[in-house]
Formats: sequence, C-alpha cells, structure tokens
Amino acid sequence: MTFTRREVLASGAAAGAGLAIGRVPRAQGKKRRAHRLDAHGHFLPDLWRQAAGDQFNGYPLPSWSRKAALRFMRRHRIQKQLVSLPDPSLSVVAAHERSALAVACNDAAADLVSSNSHRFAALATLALTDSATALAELTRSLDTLGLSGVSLPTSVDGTSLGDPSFQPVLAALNSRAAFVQLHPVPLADADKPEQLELPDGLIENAFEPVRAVEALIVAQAFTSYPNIRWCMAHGGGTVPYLAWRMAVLDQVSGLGNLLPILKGLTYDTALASGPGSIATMRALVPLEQIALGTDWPMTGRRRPDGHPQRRLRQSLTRAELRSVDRNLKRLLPSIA
Amino acid sequence: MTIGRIDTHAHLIPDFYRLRLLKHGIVASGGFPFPPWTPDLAINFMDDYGIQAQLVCLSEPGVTFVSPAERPALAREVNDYCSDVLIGQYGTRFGAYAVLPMPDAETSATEARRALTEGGLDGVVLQSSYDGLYLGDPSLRPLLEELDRLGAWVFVHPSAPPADAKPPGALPDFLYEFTFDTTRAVANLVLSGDLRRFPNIRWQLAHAGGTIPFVEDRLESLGRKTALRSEIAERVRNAAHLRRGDVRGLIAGLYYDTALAPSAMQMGGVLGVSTMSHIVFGSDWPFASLVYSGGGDPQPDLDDTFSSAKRARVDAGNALEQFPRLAKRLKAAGIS
Repeated sequence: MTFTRREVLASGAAAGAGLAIGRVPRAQGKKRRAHRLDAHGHFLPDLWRQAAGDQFNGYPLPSWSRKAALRFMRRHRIQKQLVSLPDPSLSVVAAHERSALAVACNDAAADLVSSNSHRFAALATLALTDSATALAELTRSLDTLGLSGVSLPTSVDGTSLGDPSFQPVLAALNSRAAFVQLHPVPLADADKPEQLELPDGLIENAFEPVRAVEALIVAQAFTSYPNIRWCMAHGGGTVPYLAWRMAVLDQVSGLGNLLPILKGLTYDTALASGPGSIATMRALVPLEQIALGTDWPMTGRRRPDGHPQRRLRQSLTRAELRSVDRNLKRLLPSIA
Repeated sequence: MTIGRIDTHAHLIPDFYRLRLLKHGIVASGGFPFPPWTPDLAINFMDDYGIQAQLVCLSEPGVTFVSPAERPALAREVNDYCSDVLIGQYGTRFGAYAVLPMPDAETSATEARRALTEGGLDGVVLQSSYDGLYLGDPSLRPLLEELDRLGAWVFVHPSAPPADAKPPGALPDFLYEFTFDTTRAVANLVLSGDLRRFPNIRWQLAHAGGTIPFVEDRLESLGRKTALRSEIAERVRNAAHLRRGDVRGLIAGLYYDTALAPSAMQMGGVLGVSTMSHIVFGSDWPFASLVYSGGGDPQPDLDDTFSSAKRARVDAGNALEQFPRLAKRLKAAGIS
C-alpha cells in the first residue's frame, strides 16, 4: 500500500513516525503557537529614556529593546503586545516640551509597530494640557501613524482627568470610539504621604484610578462619552474592590449609580493577577472583560518560562486562562 | 436565644467628647459630620437589625486633637466611660476598643495595659496614621511590644493624610481616601516587619482591609527574591525579613470587617487572600447610618457570598471566639 504525502500528513502519522517528508515536523505539544495578547506592555524609546534619566517611581528604569521584548514574548508565547510609554510619560520634560516629545514618541511607536506589525501594537501618548495640539496629534496618531488607541494618564500635573479642560480630547476619543487605556501616573511629592518607606509606585498608583474614575463620574464623562472603549490598567488599581462602596456612597451623595459603568469596563491583570484581585474582578465583570496584562518590563522580574503571570493559574481553570490570554481582542478587534 | 450579630465596627460619640471636639472647632470625621449618638440610639439600631452587641470605639481624630499633655487624661475619660457606663450598665449590648493617647508610644502602652487589664475593655483602636506617621513606624514599637505581651485585639481604623499630603480634590476623605490609608498602614506594617515581629497581636482591618486583598499581589512581590526587592532594598530598612510566602501568610492572618464592604467583590477578594474565619461583621454605625434603613438584615449583600451557616460565623461566631469577655457576659445572662 502506498500513501500520498498528503494522506500521511492528514493522518497525523508523520510526527509520530518521525518520517522526514520535506521539513521535519515539530514534536507534538512541545511548541504551541504563541497565542497570548498582552494588553499592557511598555516600550522605552531612546529619546524618551534620555529625557527620563535613571529612575522613576523609586525604582531604577529597566532596560528595553525591541529584541528583548521579542525574547520576552517568545518565552511566554505572547503573540502580540500592546505597548505605551511608561508611567511618568511626558512629565519627564517640562510642560512646554511635551507636545514635541509626544510627537517623537508616537513616531517611535509607529516605527516599532511597522518593524514587526505581527508582534507589536501601540497606544499613542498625548500632551493633554494643550487641547488643540493634543487633538491634532490624536488625529495624526490614529489616522496617519495607524496606532491602535491612546493611553491616558489618571492626572496631569495634579489635575485629574475629569477636569473640564480635558473634555475636548474625551469628546474626540468618543467620536472615534477609541480604545483608551487609563494608566496611573506618579504623584508629586506634595500630593502623597512622604514618611512611608514604600516605593512610590508600589501602592500609591493603585489609588489614582479610583480618584480619576470618581472625577470622571462627577464630570459625567462616562455618560457623555459612552463610546470610549476603556481598558483599566492594573485591574483598575483598586476600582473593582471599592466598586460597591463607591456606588453606594456616590448614590447617597447624589452622584448617581456608578456600578453599571464599572461593570461595563475592561480590566487588565498587570499587578492584579493574585487570587484576591481575580476573585474581586470576577465578581464585578464577566471573564471576557478581564484581559492579560504583564506590565513588562516595568515590574523588573524575570519570570520562569510558561505563563507570564503564574498566579493566574491559582485562580483560573485552563480554559478560563486561555480566555483571559486573548480577551484583549474582544475590546480591540484589530489587535490580531 | 441565639446571638444574631456581633458588630465589630461601631462608634461611640459620648456628649463630653462631642463637646470637647466642638471646643476645638471639629464637627466632622473624615469629612462626615458627627451624627447623633447615645447608648439608647445605639441599642435601638441594634434591635432593628438583630445585633446583640457592638464593640465601639472612637473614630478619627480619636484624642489627637487636644494637646499632647491632655491626651492621656481624655483617653482615660473615654475608656472609663466605656467600662463604667457601656460595659458596666449595658454589658450584654456593648464591648469596646480603648482609645490611646497616640502617637506617643509610652503613654499609649500604659493606657492600653490599664484599659485592657483593669478596665475590662476588649481591644484597642489605632488609626492607620497620625498626621503622616503610619503604623509600622519604628517609634511605635514600644506600644506594639506591650500589645503583643497583652495578646491584644487591635482595630486599625482609617484616618486620612493631612491636606498637604494628598492630591487636592473636592470629595471628602471618608469616601475612599480612608480605604487608601488603611492599605498604607497594612503595607507599612508588612514592610517594617512589625506584623512578623509581634505575632500575638490580632489585627482587625476596617472596611475589609480598605483595598488590601486587591493589592496583595503587589505586596507579595516584595516577599519574593526578585530584582524588584533588591532595587528597593536601599530605600527599605529591614527588607531582609521578607521571605517567600511570608507576606501571603501575614495578609491571610489578619481580620477583615464587613463595614461598607459586604459585596461579592470585597468578600470574594478577602476569601482570595484569607479564609472565612477571618471575616467579622461590622456596621460602621452611626457614620454609615445612611446605608441602613428600615431594619432586618443590615447587609443582605453578604448572602451573595455566604451560605446561612457561614453567614452565622461571619455575623457572630467568628467575633465571639475573639472576645471572650463579651462572650462570658452573654453566657452569664443566658444569651448564647
């Protein structure tokens, strides 16, 4: 009996039999295709790094390169990473220099994406204090550069995102139904307790998203701009844990019912992959609204091979984990 | 008669204390106006909601608003009121946590010993911070040594940073800044080593830990031998005491009350990092009175998480195990 090449391959016998038919087939189960979608990565372009210096948030700045990122993704079977500038973002330069830095960083983001569009997508950064410039850069980033959305900070120079001055940008994002990541930023020393021995970014930036959400509620931004596709970085900081408290107290304060809004958002798992965080998020939203986020390289830890967030395995079944691994695509269909 | 509920998070505002506050121009706690309070009002609330007894304490500002020289006397006056009037005359309806003349560790240690041994109180209350000085600060170690010797129950109740140590904002502290401060205190207690150093102290965290279960991931990263930890070692003294698994165990061993925190998000989060036996019912009455109306079940949301058998443990069983004096008084009166 003879077999055609096609018949042997179709039967799957080739691998088991180790038959060399053209290319040597991969061993079964050893190398699955990269399938994970990382909703929360960072890139550090050289020109930004030069402006930023050596440290942020009490930590030394990690190193980053396209090659290192690809290595990280290969090791953890991440198909694609959605990146933005790290925390201090544009505030590494003086206010009057931020528009220019934003343009340069968005150009760098576009270069990164075009160098390897199967592996990288990127979010634009906007210098928000100047609305007109920010709006122009938003248009350029999304239409000309082809970036996937925008990363918005929880505050700018201490002014919360709910401030009226940011409404034109929110309106523009709404008219485009843009994907928007809400990301905390380090606070000025005067705006946080100083005596603690805690590194700034460890705990404090978990609170900023709550303040930003409250400010956006007061500004009625969620109801005025319902088309914005929000992705809450770091599981929303502590928003899911406080959701009930915020809803109840907001209601008695006359601010309306916040819970349906919070239940409509998507949350990534960066710094929020522990069993406490996952249980809380799952009590608030369906699994489909929890997306894998690694925060690489900012957490500065080399992880063993396998899933980049091993703690997720304590809280999720394999099927649930696979869902979280790809849920970014639900909010951002263009990602993959 | 079955004991319905033991309320581990309730406040007293005796007249002499209210007058003292007024003399210093203080009419609100965390931005919330001091509500009416008498023992009878409290008993009426308890009767409406099937609460057998409340363990009461002062909310912030405690006795910190008078001069340091006056604090010990005011603390004694409040604690004597608790033992003579509340426990003395209504022993089956009240227990109490002693207020201490903080932040002075020595006079606080003296008053803690007096109130717990002679005064018959059930625990002590400490604020998360005192004008920027957080629990976990080395200056407070003599107090924690005493509390450890006493095997004391210590209720950590939030305060808020002073105005110049938080972002400017329109919303009052009690909404969510309180929960951040509870979180900071616990993080500092972990990082400083005090939680490990004083294993006989039983810690109750207000409002289901503030946000602690959601940020346990971040704290746990400190306990791993990671690049992260070595980077912050310079900024953090005594970092060497944190070992793998330590932080998780410390967080699991704390007690979490349900005040303004009965939702599936909060209870799910606590269960993710601890166990049901570490959850105790708390109302935050009278400050939270706006969320209680009519009577019956004060926290029906708890049913989203707990079966009725587990509910009974959360509502009363877990607390009764921790407060033998109160349990004894109830038993002596034929209430069990």
